Amino acid sequence: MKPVAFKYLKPATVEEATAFLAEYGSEAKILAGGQSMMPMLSMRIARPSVLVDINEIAELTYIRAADDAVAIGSVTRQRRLGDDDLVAEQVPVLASALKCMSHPQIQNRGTVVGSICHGDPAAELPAVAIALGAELTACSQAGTRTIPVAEFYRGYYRNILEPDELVSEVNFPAMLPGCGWSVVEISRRHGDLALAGVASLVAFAGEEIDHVRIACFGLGKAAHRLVDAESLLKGQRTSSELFQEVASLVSSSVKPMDDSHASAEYRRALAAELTQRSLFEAIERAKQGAAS
Amino acid sequence: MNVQSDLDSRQVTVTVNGKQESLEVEGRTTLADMLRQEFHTQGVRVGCEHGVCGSCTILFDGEPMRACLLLAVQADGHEIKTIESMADGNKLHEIQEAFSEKHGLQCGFCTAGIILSVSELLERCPEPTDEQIYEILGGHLCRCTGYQQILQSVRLAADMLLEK
Amino acid sequence: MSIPVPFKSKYVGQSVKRVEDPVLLTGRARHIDDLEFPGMLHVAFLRSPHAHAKIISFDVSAASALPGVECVLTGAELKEETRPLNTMPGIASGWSGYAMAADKVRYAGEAVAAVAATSRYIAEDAAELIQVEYEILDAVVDPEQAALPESALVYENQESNVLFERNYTYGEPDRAMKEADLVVRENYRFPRVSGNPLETVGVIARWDSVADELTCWTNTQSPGGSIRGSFVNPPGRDQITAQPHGGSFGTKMGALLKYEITAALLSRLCDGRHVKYIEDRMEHLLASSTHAWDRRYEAEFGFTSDGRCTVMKVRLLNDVGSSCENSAPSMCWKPLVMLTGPYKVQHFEYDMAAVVTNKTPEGAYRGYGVPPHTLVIERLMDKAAVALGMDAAEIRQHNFIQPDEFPYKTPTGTEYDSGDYPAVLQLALEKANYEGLKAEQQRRRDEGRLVGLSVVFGIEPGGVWAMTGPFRDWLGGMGAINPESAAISISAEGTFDVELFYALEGQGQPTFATQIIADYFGVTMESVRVSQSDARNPAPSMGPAGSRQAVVLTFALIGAADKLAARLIRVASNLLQTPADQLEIADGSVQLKGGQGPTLPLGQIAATMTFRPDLLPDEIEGNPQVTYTWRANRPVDTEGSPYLSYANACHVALVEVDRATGQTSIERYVIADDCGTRLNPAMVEGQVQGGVAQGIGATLFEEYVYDEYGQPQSVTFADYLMPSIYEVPMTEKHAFVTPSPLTALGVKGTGEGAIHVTPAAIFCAVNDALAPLGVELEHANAKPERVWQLIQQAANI
Repeated sequence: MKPVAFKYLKPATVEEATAFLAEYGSEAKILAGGQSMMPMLSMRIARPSVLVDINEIAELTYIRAADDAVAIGSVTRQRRLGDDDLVAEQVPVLASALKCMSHPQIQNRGTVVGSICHGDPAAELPAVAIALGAELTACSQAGTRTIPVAEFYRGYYRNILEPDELVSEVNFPAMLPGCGWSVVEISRRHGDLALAGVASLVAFAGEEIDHVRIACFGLGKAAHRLVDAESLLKGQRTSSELFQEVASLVSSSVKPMDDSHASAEYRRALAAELTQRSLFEAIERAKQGAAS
Repeated sequence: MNVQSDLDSRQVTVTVNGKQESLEVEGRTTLADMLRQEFHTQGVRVGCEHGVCGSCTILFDGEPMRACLLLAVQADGHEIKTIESMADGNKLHEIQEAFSEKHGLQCGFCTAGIILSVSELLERCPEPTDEQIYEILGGHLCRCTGYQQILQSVRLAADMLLEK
Repeated sequence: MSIPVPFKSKYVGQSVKRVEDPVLLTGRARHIDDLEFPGMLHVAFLRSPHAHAKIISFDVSAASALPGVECVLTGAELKEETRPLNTMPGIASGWSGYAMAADKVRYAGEAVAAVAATSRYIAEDAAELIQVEYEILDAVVDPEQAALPESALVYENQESNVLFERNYTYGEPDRAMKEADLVVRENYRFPRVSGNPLETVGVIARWDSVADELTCWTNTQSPGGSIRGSFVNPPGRDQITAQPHGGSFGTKMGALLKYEITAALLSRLCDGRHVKYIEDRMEHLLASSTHAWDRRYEAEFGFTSDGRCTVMKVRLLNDVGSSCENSAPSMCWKPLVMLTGPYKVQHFEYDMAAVVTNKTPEGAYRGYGVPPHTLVIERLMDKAAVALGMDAAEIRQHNFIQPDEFPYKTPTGTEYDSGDYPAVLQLALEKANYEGLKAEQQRRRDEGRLVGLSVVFGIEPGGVWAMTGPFRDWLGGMGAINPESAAISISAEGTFDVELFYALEGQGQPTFATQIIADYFGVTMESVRVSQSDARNPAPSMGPAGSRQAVVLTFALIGAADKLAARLIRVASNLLQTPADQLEIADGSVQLKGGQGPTLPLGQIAATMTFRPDLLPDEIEGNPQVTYTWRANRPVDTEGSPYLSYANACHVALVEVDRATGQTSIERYVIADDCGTRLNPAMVEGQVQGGVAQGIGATLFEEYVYDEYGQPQSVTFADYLMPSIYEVPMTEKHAFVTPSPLTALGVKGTGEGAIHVTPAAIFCAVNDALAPLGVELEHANAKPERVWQLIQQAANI
């Protein structure tokens, strides 16, 4: 299990990185935290001829407040989601996501943006980013564009980035005041990728659900939002009948895959269960938030 | 297919267990391989080479990480600690002593990585809860002990370090 | 043949710290991959992507031309130089391939060619450049289909894929089944699992054809082997040095041979340079010949109306994978030594068959086939209890062999040494507050929750000493002894050097050896140093296997100590001018029995032997070093037991199954076990807890999955799921001690006990949880989806 030989490049700035990407295009792979890339290299599933290592780009390590949002640079490690005050205050759902994810030893190196870009269908952060309405900033020599994470994926491990583009930042809109949240999943072992998972955000206006975002993972070729389920909930008062209706809608609408750990049929059943658990938890948090 | 092995070598300067060294490494060499072969810190045990087992865990700028999931070239300018840094000559570190006291190891292959992870935990968090201990041990597979005596060892290590 | 404790025990019986720990804790143990030699080459294999295919041709030109590559060896070339891999004694030949596939591949991952290069990186680059043309054949995947006459053949030289069929009938099982008041039956499957130590298998070979000598360094757990017989033109002599290993659990025995052979040939082809091969993890999972217990069972037990089990019929079909190059067949027959478990049952039929398929060959794994057998017995006891309206604990108490019946002869002729099963079960129930757990279970069941409680019992054969009794006819009637040796020397400073004849294994043997020798001579543990013998100076040793070291090494150590003590006393007798029979060893000295008179420190005696042999008469051997080889003084015949000790344990587990997801969580896990005298209780607890973790792995997480084409689906640690700390319960362990009358110090083997019983505990508890739904799990791996499917089934009934 040793990687194929490649040309190793270590840009110090975003400008240098995008210049390398412009030069090598699809021959190059970007190495961020490497916690998914390195196994693929060692198994020779990934066989790049050029590796552009962005870890030493100092300007990409940050968590900072933006307009009603938290901006996270693409070399920021996942572990920081658990100990950053701004995250805890503005987007606490990210810290909850972290608790479901892998292990500290992986999170110390793995990056937030790397996980979103890698787009493992069973990973937590892409779904949470979609639920939050997060956006990616992609840079190339041609310029910079903003891509909502919800529009980023194109099927199994595919996305719409051009070969010469580097994602420099993810921007998470701050959660609404009083917004409850939840990330729940079923995995075989603690810290494994999920067999299925659901992230949700719920805010109330009085007794009625005013704002709701639900996204799922492990239940299709990529994480995605469950818009129909959201529509059923918006403007409604909570009830177990409503949740069951939402759960069965989710279960019938998702298109999970079969693998050696779980069949699509089982994943659909988990989808229904997890939708309910997630909504319960998010609503519980929303109510606590309102009470406090 | 690209199979030229000498395609890209680089000079790196790395501090391993307090000692700085410069050397040439190939781009694709993993950090685990460099530490074992060039620095002879063979306590870096390679168990799976895909980041799951945790045997090769080292401290990279003070934080536990998998040496199999880093390239050697990425250590350039960074500081690495391996199990070889823990004991003071023949005197075991308190954490090592606690593992010995509580039988927190059998074959010992996973132990070096665990001790390094635990050392970072106890530095950050001198009175850890079981939840915090589980969180850090969750990143290590041990096939011998069933973890119970490891858990007891970590609790004892925390006590020993507090009393120090 | 009870051996009295020959010393005051200061250390034996205490949870002293392990003497090997400092080396392990500092990372200084020299594992196989830590050895470096000048000019050493590294091996990578090209492995077959197909489960079953003919090899049409090899083209190695591009690989050979790669800079850094010293040699490329194909399976076809290897075949010319070597003999087929071992077939188990007792099994007809022709059921295994060579160290690499030559004409045909029989499992996905089988090596077809090997490269030796200046680095592993380059070797892997080159392996990819080897072109192999295959003609794909139908893969034999399902073991039941494999046994049918129309199945494709894994070995064309054989008439079918059935490796063997044997029937062992004791008493009159058919009649007893007819007469039974209650018959319970079920089919079970056990998942394909393996030991998966964190260190994989590795070898370094140096074949110097000028010196006519082959030297191998490996991480074998079985010392002293020779592989000369594997070669058409063997080296004049060979020697295998074992390095400390990072776990083995049976995987580091026969699995090494194919790698030793290949590395050795490559070394010979490279002018005797050292050649290293370390399996990577994917290769280990894919192709290490260490998978185990891919089994299907049909079982049927008969009971009287008052709950006495009268007859057991167990039919086993074992899928051994593509070859019997490792020890898979003998894992089918090990249960013969404990066929009825802890129960008194006179009628038994054990019908076993093994088939070959296009999967990775099976090999040894801790427990050696007993865990699935125990699971079958325990689950059917539970089923009978339910049918008879009895409690799980009660039906077991009702059938136990009683304490006054030891030594107890089982139907197969093996003899259980000692025990008190009712008391062990009672201890577990009391410590678990069994009645309280039952009440708790009922309370939660009333809320509609799926809560399961199990009480299971298991027997652990330990101290395997010979291939005797029911094992004998498998070896062509020859039998064989499994000896163990120890060497001790004493220095002029009065310190002791003890040598063991196998490598550091992790189970603490150097520690209990230190404890025993220190106590024997009345010195401190610091005065005793234990190390591994030099491979050039071997003594007969089987090494760790079959829960044997606590038993056999203790025998060997005490035998060696007796021999050395006799010699020291003889010298002392001469120096003190006192008859030897009036002298004894105590507190590191020779003294007059009863403690009166002068004492002579042992170091001074050793000094005299070393530096002033002129003071001693010629007939006294002046060497302060002895080697002793232990072998049981028992007949190797068709009667008797291959194992000397039979430890036993009761496990009580409380689990809850999540109705919505099928996930099982373990809430309480209580163990009472009797492994006789505990040399070091903390080490025993470590063995038990480690076995629990592996048992939980097998029943809730781990499973090698193959698709319908024989393609393995579990080739990374993201797919073969070994439990982490979150998945393993912190168990409550309680000791019950019935010393074995057959072993030194009364010890019983204990390395495998918990993995024998844990699968049954989890399986029975999950089934108990599902009982209110009227569904039953037949697959011993209760992965969430399997359990969920059953819950769905129940909902649709």
